[in-house]
Amino acid sequence: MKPLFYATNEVTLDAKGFEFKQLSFAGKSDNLKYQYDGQQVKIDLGKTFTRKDTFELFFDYVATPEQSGGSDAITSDKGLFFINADGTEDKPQQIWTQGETENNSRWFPTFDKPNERCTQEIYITVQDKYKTLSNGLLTKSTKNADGTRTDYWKMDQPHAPYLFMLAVGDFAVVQDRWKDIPLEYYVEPKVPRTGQRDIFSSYPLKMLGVLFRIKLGCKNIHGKKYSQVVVRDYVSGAMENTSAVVFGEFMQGDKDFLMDNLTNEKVVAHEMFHHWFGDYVTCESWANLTMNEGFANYSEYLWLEHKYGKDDADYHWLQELRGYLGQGETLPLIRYGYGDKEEMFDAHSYNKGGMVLHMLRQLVGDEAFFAALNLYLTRNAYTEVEADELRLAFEDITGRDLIWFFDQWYFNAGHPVLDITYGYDAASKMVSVAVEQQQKGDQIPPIFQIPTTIDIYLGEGKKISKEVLVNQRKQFFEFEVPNAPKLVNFNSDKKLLAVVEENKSDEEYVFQYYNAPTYLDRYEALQALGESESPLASSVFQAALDDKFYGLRELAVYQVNINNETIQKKAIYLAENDPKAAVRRAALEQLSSVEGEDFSALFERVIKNDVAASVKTAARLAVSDRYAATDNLQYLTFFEENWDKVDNYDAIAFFRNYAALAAKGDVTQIQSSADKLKVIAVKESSIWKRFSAMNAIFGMHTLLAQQMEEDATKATTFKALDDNLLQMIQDIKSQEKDSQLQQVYNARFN
Amino acid sequence: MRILFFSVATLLLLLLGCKPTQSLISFPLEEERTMDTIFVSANELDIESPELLDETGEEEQIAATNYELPAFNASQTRTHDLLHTKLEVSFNWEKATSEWKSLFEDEATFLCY
Repeated sequence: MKPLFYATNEVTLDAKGFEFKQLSFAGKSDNLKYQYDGQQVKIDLGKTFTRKDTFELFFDYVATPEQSGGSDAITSDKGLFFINADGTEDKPQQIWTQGETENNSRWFPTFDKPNERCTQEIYITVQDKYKTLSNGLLTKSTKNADGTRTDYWKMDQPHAPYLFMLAVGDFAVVQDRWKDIPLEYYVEPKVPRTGQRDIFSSYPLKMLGVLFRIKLGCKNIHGKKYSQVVVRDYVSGAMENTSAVVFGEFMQGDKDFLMDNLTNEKVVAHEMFHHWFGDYVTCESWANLTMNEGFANYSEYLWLEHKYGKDDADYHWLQELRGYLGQGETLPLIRYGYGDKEEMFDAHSYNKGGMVLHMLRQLVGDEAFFAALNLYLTRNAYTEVEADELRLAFEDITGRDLIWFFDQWYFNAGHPVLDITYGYDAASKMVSVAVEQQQKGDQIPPIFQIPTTIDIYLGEGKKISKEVLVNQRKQFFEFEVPNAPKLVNFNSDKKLLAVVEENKSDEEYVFQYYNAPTYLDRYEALQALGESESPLASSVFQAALDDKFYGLRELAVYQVNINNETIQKKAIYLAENDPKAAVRRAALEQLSSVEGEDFSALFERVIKNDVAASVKTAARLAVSDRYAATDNLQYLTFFEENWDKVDNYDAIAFFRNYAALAAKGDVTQIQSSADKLKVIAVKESSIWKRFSAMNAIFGMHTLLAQQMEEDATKATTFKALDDNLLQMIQDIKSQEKDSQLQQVYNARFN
Repeated sequence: MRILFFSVATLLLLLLGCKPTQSLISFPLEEERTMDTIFVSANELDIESPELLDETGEEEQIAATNYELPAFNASQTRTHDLLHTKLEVSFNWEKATSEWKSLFEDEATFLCY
């Protein structure tokens, strides 16, 4: 350590909840004087050091990490977590850390800010049965006389303190390699060996290496190896600790679960891309978080585009847009005025950050985009960055001034809200496009500069493309054409982050669906036609059931009139034969909503034959809906045989249906069913299932209460039973250890 | 005055830049913004708050006390250059078990140089 510039005789480090035994210069036994407030330690160095001096500090301490808060993105700030420390819970024993934002200073003293960085060594002593993981390379492993083992991890490239990590546990470790980069997958031993690679998408990972390294022109990955570990009870989704990425349990599933599941691949891409944008080059402060997260977010688009094609990538882009708009407020991407640093982890830093990069790529072209990223990374390697460093790299590569772009997208808030009015004058053969920018609000530019393209479709396969620059509040464009257009399409590349209203007719949307090139064109057409009563619309939706992109087939399934016999036949076909699980599931859900028709045989075939867990679950839910509507208590067996196969959000409806059916039984039956639900509510490892079972018991109580209120004789019959259910609810609440679930229970089940 | 200057100047520029086929651009007259720099202005406080009203009632004095800087989270001032961190750690699972608030206990050394 050394003074950065100014001479000083003191140093202050972040060190939260420590008990110091010794605090001295390295190799000295005399303690230095210090002041400690439980959060920071201010050390009197005893003499003045200049920037030419280097000194070493030694700490011997006990750290006791405790939680003082958390956020939506990272639910606990404890920093270091013991999982099942006493071994009494039905889960593996583990220790793992979560540094971001400033929580690693709960287990080691440091300058816990993103604009700091250093190299790292860590000696981890554990019982020999445990595996360890940390940043960099495992350089040495020594067995000790007391039966423990000490692993020595060395990270000789500097990185920010929030990226330090360690993990300890009974992991199965799969060794892999992509060219010169060692790859490791740490998963629970229960995962079948064949599935261990599936979890981390081994081939995609290799392809990520190909894609990102080639695209970015970087030879190495930060940390010299790439390990990924799944831990229990993780407090976020995943974390890009340099060369040792942590994932939550969602990553760990069998092949059925992983079928058609792009989430895992996207998360792998996200964390890997962070190794350049976040780890190698780091945001200068949390106000600049999008310099990390915007890039990681955009990597998901890049990966999907590379592996699956533009339609899949644009489908993802649309989800990102919805996420951003769903935040419901408009803020600058770079904002120093946040209330709490955790607020920065929002749909602006992530979604909008990624979409702005997408527009920047469109603006400068692919070759310049990736060349500029390479320059940005090379120039700023191992340093902290602000948005201006990115701008300068792009300006140096392209020769263009890009202040206007960065100003409006990074330092101002909002996005264009556009009203587009198309017109055609037959006499003059002029197409007109009137663009009005309607956005307003604090820090939102009244005028965005928007370079974009207008496509004019003339029929018979002819199309004219006009590049325009929208840079006024109200603007009017005119184009001479040889004949009346079939369609005029503003923002035809569909890369603009904007909310757009247009005056297209049904006929024009139909033409757009069949003739415009992108998924987003076809999606836009279907969305607009979904609100139309025109027969044209229904014919397009039928055609869309055979769209080349599954996202539109799925949308069409939900939009068609499922009560039509022809449509039903098509839906039955899709439910069993569409190559994409999302479409099969959508078809099942639609068919299950048809009244007066029994598709039970289809649902049972799907449960038996489909390979994707999500589709089987949809079939089980469809069956459960049917059974819950009957009075046949024999169907309870179906629920009890299948409830271990239904999880996450789907479990809520499945268990609710079980309760609805069981509540039609006598006192003995209801009590028996409630007892079974209580076991799940208390012992099940999935919080979704625990909640679902609890919710089902509460549902039984609600149904009984209604009956007792309506019928005095039932009040006598059910009183003791209902008291039992209420007692069960209290028991379950008292035994629940998950803090989030406790909050839900207290709010919902009183 | 400065606000008005920016607004009028910008409006004039835009008016002069309009082509005959283009519609007039309209936006709030008192928009305070520049497109090529970050512009941070002080926020006006609630002058209805009694504690902010000056005793003399002089307008200039009210104006002088009527603004506050917006929230600003500055980057950490770097005083030292941390070059390296070395850690040694071991864990006491039993204590973590026996006392929940002491989830973690390590015997660690920390070396910076």
